[in-house]
Amino acid sequence: MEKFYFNRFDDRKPYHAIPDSTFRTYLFQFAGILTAFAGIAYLRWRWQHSLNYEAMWFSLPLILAETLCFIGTLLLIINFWSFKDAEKTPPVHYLSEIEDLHGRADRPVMIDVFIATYNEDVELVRYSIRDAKKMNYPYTDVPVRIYVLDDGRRDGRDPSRQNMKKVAQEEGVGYLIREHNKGYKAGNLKNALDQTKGDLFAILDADTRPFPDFLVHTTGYFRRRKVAWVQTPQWFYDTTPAEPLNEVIKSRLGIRNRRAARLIDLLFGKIKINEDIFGNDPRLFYDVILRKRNLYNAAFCCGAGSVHRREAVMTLALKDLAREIRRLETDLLRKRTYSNEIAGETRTLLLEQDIIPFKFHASEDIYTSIMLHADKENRWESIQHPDIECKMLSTQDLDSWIKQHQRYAEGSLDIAFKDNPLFKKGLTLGQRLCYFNTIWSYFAPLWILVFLLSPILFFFTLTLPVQGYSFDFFKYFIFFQVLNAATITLGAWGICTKRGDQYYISGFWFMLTALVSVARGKKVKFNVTPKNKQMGKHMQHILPHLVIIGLGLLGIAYNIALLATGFHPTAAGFAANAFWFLFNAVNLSIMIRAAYWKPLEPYDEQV
Amino acid sequence: MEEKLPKVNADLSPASQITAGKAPGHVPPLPVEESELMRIRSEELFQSGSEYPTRELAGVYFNGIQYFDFTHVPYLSNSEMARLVNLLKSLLKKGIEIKLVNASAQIQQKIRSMGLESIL
Repeated sequence: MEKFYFNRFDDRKPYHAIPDSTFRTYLFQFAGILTAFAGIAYLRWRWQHSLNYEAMWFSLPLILAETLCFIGTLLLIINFWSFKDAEKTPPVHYLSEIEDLHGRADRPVMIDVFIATYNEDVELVRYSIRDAKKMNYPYTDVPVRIYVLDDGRRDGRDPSRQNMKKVAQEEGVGYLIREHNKGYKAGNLKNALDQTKGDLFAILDADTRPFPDFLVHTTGYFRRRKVAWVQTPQWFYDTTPAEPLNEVIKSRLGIRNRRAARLIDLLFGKIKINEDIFGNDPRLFYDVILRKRNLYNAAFCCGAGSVHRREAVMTLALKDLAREIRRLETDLLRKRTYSNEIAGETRTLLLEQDIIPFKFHASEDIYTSIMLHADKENRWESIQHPDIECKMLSTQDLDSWIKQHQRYAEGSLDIAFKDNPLFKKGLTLGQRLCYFNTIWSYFAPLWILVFLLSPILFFFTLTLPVQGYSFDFFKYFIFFQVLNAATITLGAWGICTKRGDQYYISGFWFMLTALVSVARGKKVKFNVTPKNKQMGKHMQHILPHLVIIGLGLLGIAYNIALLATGFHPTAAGFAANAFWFLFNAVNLSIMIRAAYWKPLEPYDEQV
Repeated sequence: MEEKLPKVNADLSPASQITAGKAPGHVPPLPVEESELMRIRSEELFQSGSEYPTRELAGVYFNGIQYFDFTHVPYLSNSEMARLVNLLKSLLKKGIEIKLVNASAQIQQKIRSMGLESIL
């Protein structure tokens, strides 16, 4: 098989899911309640006693930003409330185990495995196919059929392109293709569902390599008749390794002198940096955020690494079709059309309508999840499986990372503007809050931008957004912040959230772009995440970061000059804002570092 | 040319008959090979269900109408119903209408509950 950069990571082992602990859960809940009260007390004090009425242009945006940010904290506490993992059961054998037969004869269940591809290297897809072929299933009469869903029409018609069909044939798996890309990935899945027959089907992306027991560990959940899908954690096994700082310095500075090298080794030899430089590790999301949503039956599907009940998505699709036809009939009745004309029009509409199992949307997975959860008649359930059952590739450059996350942001925001789950009929309160939490997080650039600009505004205007950095301010602020940090640590116990926090702040610009784009009604595009390294497209992403850091440094220099000459009005204000700016700068710098990151040992294999 | 009525037609009664959509307008039915319909019946319609319908689902094509006898079909899952709608669409495009005959009350109720009675 062809060698790729990720072969060097093949030996990496996945993490183990966080063990549930009743004691820790109670501790978290206690801390969470305290944080909520401390936050309310802080904001109450801020609104009532700390506003600088002489600079409301500055004071008001900051307090609004803090209030909006606190809403996110409350939503997070609700989301993190408790684990509720579903009971694991052995894999299913017969259809009667997963659905009522209603007089039909029983038979072994049928399982399909879909590998969705578009333009990825066919030899990369071959790895996924081979791992899929290695999947175990304890019952030999249960057919497990693997299909490559090629949306790139790489069936050999164009000799200048790679031949996906040939690879599928060589590997002895099915190959499904269509002549257009309508509905993007959702359309690709629809095309596959139209041509296949599995009662359950697994969705894998081109780079998703399932472990041998992927199906063994997931199909048992479908004994619960209302389980519509099971999502397994997406584990990126190729995140950048930690690099010794001494080696990075020597490499970047080209140091050859032995004495200088020894000195650098002595000073920095034990420090490691750049681990997961792109913040790709999604453990916090899968092992905590999504997994804890099992409590509210609100874990949503993330596409790759999930297993679905065909009946659930088909029920949704048929209901949508019937709703659309009813809508047309109602329109026609309003126009007083004769009944025979209505019948004819209904059939015309039917010919134009498709049965769409997954919503045609840039975020087809979360949108379909919302619709299934909101189905009042069926009350479909979702399960976030705690253990890793497959491995995937992560983005290897900043441009790809931003494109991927921008699509997530635009997709979620588009749902927020057009079909907001907070007001969606059929969802429970817990589901509404959990979906809203996801959407709310994409509004974060609104308050992050205020937090980033505030110290700079102070440096150049010497105006404080609060009445003063008094003892009262720090009493409320520090108590709330310490409690907040403790709560997050308890809620995400065992997981380092440092990189996630950094990208939460440094991702403000692309999220702001996404927010503006969706608010202006721009159509959300389905950008396929590149699987190869994109070079030299980074400056546009980090220019705002450089401007903010540059302005901040300039402001600090200016303030120091004022202090030195005795013209600075508030040294305490400067100290607080300088500290605040440095915190921002450190977090912003991660994206700048990521933009120019190169591995210490260049990948000589194909990337 | 005189055409004989299909045998299944003798069993049709209003109560057990669900009429699927006629082609819009009066488009004359396109010639369809019987073998093609057999393929649809046996492979496409119920391939997602159990094995029995492929053996037992009877159907005839007569005078622009494809009849499906549901006598031995006790239940339609939504996956199977989706397949039926797709089949209806593909035949409508060819100017053929579908009639499901001898459908059980349970199946009729299922179709109604899904809101598909106007097309199936």
